[in-house]
Amino acid sequence: MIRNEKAQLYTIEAIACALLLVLVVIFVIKAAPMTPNSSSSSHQQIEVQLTSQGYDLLTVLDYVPEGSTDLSQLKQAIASWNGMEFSGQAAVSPYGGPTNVTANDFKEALGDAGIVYNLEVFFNTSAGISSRPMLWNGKPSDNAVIVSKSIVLNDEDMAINTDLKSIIPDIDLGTKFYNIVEVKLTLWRM
Amino acid sequence: MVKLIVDDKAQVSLDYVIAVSIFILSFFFLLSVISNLFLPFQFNSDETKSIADRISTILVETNNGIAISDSSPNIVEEQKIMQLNDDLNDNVTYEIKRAQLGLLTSTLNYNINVSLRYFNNTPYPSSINPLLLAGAIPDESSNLGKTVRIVYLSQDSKKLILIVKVWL
Repeated sequence: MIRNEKAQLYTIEAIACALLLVLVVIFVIKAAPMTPNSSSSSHQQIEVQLTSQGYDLLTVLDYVPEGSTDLSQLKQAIASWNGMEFSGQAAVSPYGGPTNVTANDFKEALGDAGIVYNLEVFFNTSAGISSRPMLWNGKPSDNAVIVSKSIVLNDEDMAINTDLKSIIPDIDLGTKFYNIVEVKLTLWRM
Repeated sequence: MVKLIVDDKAQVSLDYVIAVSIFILSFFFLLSVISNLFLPFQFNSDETKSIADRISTILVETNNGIAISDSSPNIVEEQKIMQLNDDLNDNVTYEIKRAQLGLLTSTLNYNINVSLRYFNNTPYPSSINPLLLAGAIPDESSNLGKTVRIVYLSQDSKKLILIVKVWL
């Protein structure tokens, strides 16, 4: 009787051990591809969604009604920007100005929806293309998407903004054309 | 000889472990293979998502949708939005609108829900009398494709989001 029980104990332990081992191996194999950073078809869809939202926002901000001589909101934001980078969701100086209003729109449309964004301004200089961050939320992740919009500035747009004049140069002094800036918006999800 | 056989007896458990391990492994392998085999047929989320993208593009970027003109994408017109809201909230015109948008054909039958909202997801201008909150209502179990577009309502000078949901 005693000898028989011994054998049973070994077998049950062995089965339990094997089962446990196999289950762990299967769990590890199954769990490995499910990290949030692994690429998948759903990830591509998120990138497509981010791209379309970025372009949508820049299009909407750069809208000028037909027949209107006003500057678009995006152009106003750049024309009255003093060239300072501001980090995170902090208020923009000059406070209450068009730059601040636009920065707030970015926060409302993207930041509040869990999308992180950087807004940079690229412009021509005599030495080549230079850039300066406008809204900065940190280094983008590997899955970030970039959308951009070109904006033409003329001498009148820049007339009152001496701060920005020292950063973005007039690349054609002979004409009213001032510079072309490319507004680059980088979007990603944390 | 007899002694040897008695000694071998204890080793049977080892054979047993190997056999059970192989059995369990093959069982789980089969289980995962079979479930993966049917996975592409169970979910149509890829399809619904691309359909939602297409519908949102028609609505937001063309004159046939709610955009003020083909040359002004994302700028939407109140009159067209009200018309779309009426069309999608009436049973007869809902079917016509679905056919126009390519959601209802001899082989396809997708439902649609379109809404215009503030960035914080509440209907515009109020939940009691929304400008655009139209179409069928998805049940909890339906697998839907959703697209969010940012639009500008020029009449009210408001930036809003248009949410398009499509499901089978």
